Amino acid sequence: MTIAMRYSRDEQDAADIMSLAFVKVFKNINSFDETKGAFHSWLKRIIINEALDHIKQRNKFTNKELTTIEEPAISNTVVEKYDAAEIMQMVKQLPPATHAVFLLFAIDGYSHKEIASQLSISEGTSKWHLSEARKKLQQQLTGLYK
Amino acid sequence: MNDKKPYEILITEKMESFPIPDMADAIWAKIELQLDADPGIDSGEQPSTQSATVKKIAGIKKGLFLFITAVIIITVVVLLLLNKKRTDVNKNPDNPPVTTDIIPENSGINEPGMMPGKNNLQPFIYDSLQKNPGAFPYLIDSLTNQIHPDVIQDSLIQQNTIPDTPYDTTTIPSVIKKPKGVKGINNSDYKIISVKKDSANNN
Repeated sequence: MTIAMRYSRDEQDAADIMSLAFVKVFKNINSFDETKGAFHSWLKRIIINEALDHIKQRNKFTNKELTTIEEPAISNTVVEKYDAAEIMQMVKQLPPATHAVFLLFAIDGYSHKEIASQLSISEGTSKWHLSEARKKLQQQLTGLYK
Repeated sequence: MNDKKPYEILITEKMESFPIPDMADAIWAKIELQLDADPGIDSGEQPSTQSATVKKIAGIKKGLFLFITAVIIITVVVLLLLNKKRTDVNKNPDNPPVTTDIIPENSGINEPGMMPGKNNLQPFIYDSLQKNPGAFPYLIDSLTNQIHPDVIQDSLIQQNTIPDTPYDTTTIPSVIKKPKGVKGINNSDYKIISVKKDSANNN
């Protein structure tokens, strides 16, 4: 449910994602191969895929090429001042494509190649969205506690 | 660019500690609804392809079955209609046979607008039934194979009603129809003959 909550706009959306994901798990349980990985990883992948399908239904992912690489610096001390709900709120305020790329890369550990494949975008676009996410988060994190 | 930043790891920890709302019941209810709607348990790889093929075949079979059923129903209906038509033709030939044993040709019934035929029986039947209701069974028995069923039906309906045309004593014969097989009685049998009480005529 935590995974679904991260990718969704609200609780109802998260519930829909969870129900659809579990239906897929029940229908495809025979295709699970424990030699290929843990059940938890398989389940997590299904939930993330379902969440991304939800996002793709609502938003078009356009290709944007990264021209300049910016590495905003954010201190851990700044992040520690915020609680989980505030952090969650800040991340959800990101534009849909940027929000998805940030979660896939920064939270769930996908590579840019995997993200590009999942969202049907180029690797350059994936990197652009990550850069945009970091910039916006820095503005929000540093802006409130100036 | 490809590495996680330290603050991103912290953000990850904070997001994973986010409290989850208690929606287990609602989620399970949705799962049940979806599984009831489409159970589709997969048993191997490429489930979507296999189920699509199976569904396609099932759809074709269903369509074929409906088509065959429709053809059978249409054939049965057509045969019934043809059979009915043949039966109607047999019952109602263009010139139904009419014997002269019962009703003489010169009976005088020849009103225009009535049922066509060698002998115009319809007004005769009405009037005969009016005069002699008791003769009705004999009448039907002798005439069922000679008169159009509609006429008989009309007679049945009107046997207790007064006919529209006034009773005409000059044209209506005084003959009562006799059942088939019995030699007919002609008009002369019903002539009122004055009997002279004269011994000379008895010879």
